[in-house]
Amino acid sequence: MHLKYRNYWLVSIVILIGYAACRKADAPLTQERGQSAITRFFYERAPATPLVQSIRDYAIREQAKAPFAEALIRQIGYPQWNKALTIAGASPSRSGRGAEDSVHITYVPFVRDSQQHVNATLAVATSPGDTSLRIFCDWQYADTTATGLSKAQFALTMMALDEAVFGNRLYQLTDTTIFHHRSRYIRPHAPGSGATKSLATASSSLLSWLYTTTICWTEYVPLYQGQVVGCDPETDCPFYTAVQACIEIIWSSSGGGGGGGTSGPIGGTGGGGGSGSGGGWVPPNNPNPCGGVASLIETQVGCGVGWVPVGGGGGAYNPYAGAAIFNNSEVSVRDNNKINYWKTNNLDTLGLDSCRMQLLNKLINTLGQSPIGVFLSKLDNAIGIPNTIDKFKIHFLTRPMINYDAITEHAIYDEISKEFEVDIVLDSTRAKTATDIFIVNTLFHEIVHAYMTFIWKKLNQGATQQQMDSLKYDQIFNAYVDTLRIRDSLNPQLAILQMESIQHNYMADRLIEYIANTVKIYDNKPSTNDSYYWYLAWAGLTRKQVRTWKSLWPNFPSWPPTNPATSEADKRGLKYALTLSRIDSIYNVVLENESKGLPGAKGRKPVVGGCY
Amino acid sequence: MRITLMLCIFLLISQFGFSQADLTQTASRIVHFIERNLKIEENSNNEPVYDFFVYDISIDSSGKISSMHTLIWDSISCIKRVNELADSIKVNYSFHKPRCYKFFVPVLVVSEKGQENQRKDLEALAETIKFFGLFKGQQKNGVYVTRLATVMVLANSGKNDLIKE
Repeated sequence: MHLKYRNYWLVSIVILIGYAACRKADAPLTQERGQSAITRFFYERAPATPLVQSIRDYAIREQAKAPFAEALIRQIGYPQWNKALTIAGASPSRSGRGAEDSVHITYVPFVRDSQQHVNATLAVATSPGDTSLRIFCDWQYADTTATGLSKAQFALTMMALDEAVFGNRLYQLTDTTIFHHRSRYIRPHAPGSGATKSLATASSSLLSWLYTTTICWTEYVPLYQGQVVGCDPETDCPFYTAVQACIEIIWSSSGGGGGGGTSGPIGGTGGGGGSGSGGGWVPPNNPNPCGGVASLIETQVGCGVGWVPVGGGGGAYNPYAGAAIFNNSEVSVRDNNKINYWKTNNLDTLGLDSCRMQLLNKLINTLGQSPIGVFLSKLDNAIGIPNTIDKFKIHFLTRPMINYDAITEHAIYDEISKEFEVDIVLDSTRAKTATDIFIVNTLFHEIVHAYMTFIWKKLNQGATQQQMDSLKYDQIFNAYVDTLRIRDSLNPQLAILQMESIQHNYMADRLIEYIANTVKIYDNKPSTNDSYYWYLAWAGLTRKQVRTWKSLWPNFPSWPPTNPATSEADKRGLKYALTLSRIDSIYNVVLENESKGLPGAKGRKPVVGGCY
Repeated sequence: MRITLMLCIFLLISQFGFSQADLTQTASRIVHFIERNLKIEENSNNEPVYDFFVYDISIDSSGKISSMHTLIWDSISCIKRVNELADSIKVNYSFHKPRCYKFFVPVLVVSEKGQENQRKDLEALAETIKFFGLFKGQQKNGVYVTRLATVMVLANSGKNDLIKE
C-alpha cells in the first residue's frame, strides 16, 4: 500500500516535470506565431492611399492601447488594406460650421486564409471632426437593423468589396429572397463599366452623414418557375432570363442602425474606440457559428451567408464542390452503424424473385461495402435535418407492367413515428431479360426517387416554411431543396404535380456521376469504359420533361441536335452523342442491348435455369 | 363537492382530448391507407395523369362509417380502384365516439409519363387543392378535413423511351 502511494508521487512528479518542460518550449513559439500574425495583420498588404494608411496607423495605435487584432484574425481573417474602397466626396457643410467638410467612408475587406471570398468589412467613416468605425460580417445581411441596409444593399456592398479583392465574378444566391424575381445568380457590374460606384450625393444632419452610392447588377432568373436546370448562367446555358437592375445604397456615417463606436479624428491623438456588440474593433458575434474558437488559426465562422461566388477556385463556391465532398470515400463509424441497421432491418426483398434478390444483395454489399447505404447516409448528412435512414423502409417487388421498367409508388410518411415506407416495383419481364448492370442502374434510380420523396414528404407534412427556410444543407442537396422551397412558397401543390420532373432533373444534374460510378464498382470490369456507364446512367433521364440533359443539347430546342462535342469525355458522354446518328449508334444501342440482354451488351446476361 | 366538480371537468376535458386524438389518428391512418393501397392503372397513352377527388365519409353516432361517396372534380381515370378502396376503408375503419359526422379526405393521384404536365387547368387544380389545404386538420360544423392524400408513381424510363423524335 505504502509502495503504491510512493509510485503515485513519482508518476506525478514525472508528469509535472514533463509538463513544465513542454510549456517552456511551447510558450515562445505561440507568442512568436501570434506576433507574426499581428505583424501580418497590419503590414502584409500595404495601404494604397494616404487615407487608408492613416486608418491603418490609427489601428496600430489602438492595438497598442487595447489589443484586438488576434481576436479579429480568429473571427474574420486578415484585412486587405491595399484593396480598401473609399467612397469620397465633398459634402454640403454641416450646420454651423460654414465650410465644406471632406467626408469619406472607407471599407476594408477581410479575408480568411481558408477562404477565397471577403467575409467581413471594417467600415470607417472619417471627417476632419471625428471618426467612427464598425465591423460588419457577411452573415449579418438579413439583420437590417444592425446593418442599416436592406438585404440586397448589404449583399451588394459585400460583393463590391469581394470584387475589389478577387475580381468581378458571378454569385449564386443561396438565399433567394435577397433580390427580387426569385433570382438564383447575380453579377454586380464591374466598376467603370457604366455602373456608378462613386459618391452620388451626400446629405447631412447634425447627427450623421449619409452617403448614397448606386450599384447596378444583372440578375439571372431561372425559367420554369425555378426548376433545377443543370447549368449556371453565362456558360452557354439557355435557361435563365437576364434582368438588369440598380439600387441606391445609403450608408450612415454613424455606423448603421446598431450604432458604431466613435473615436477622435484619425491623425490626431484618437479617442476611445467603440464599444458594444459589433461596434469599434469588436466584430459581431455570429449566433450560429460553424466552428469553435481555437488559436490563431481561423475558425469557420460564416454560416448563413446568402451568396457564394461561382468558380472562384480554392475555397470559393464551386457548383460541384458538394459532389466532390459527397464522393469522398470516408464513411464515419456512425454512418456505418446507420447503414448496417438500414440494410438489416429496413429492406424487404421478399417480393423479388431469387435472382433479383441476389443481385440487390450484391449491390448493397458490393466489395465489402454498401454503395447504396453509403450514398443514402451521405444524403442523410447532406440534407442536414434529423432524417435518418433507420426510418427509411423499402419493399422491393416484381410484377408485370405494360409501360415501365420500374416504378416507385405507395410512399407514406408517418408524422408521428417519422417512418417512411415505399414500394419499388420492377417489371417482371424486364427483370428476366435485362443484364445485371441495367437492373442495378434501374434499382439505384428508383431508390433515389424513394429517398427524394421521403425528403419531400417530410418537408411537406412535418415542416413549416420557416423550418424549410432555415435548412442548412450541403451543396449536393441544395438545388433540390431550393426547387421545393421556391415552388412550395408559390403554391405547395405545384411541387407534387411536377415531382417526377424535379427529381429527374436533380438526378441528371447532380447524381448521375455517382450513379454511374456505383454501377461501375458493382460491375468490376476494368476493361469497360467509364462512358459506357454514363450512357447507362442516363436511362430514364433523357425524356422530354428532363431539362438538364437538354443543356447538353447545343441547338436546343431545334431538332435534330447539331454541333456535338468532339470528345467523348466531355459532359459525361451525352454531348458527344447528340447527333441523330450517334444517338442511334451509341446511346440507344447501349440501352437497347442492356435492357434486353442482347449479344452486344457488356453486362452479365440472364441465363435460363440460373441467374447471371 | 368542489373536488368532485373539478374531477368531472377533468374527465370531460380528457374525454374530449381522447376523442379528438382518436379522430386525428384514425383520419391519419385512413390517409396512409389510401396512399399505401390505391393502385394506379398504367397510363398507356403517354400523357400525364392528374386525378383529384374527395372521399366523403359519413359516420353514424356509434362511430361506424355509414356511407362513403367519391366527390369527383371533373373525371378520374381510376374510378374502379377508387371505389374498391372505398369499400376497404368502410370495412376496416371506425371511430371511437366521434365528434363529427363527416370526413373529407382529398386525394391527389399523380401518374406522370412522357411530357411534363399538359393539363391546361393545372393551376385551377392546384388552387382547389390549396383550398382544401386551408381546412386541413380542422373541424367545421361537424365536418373534418384531413390532409391531402398524395398517391404518386415515379417511373424510371418507359419501355420505349429511347431518344427518338
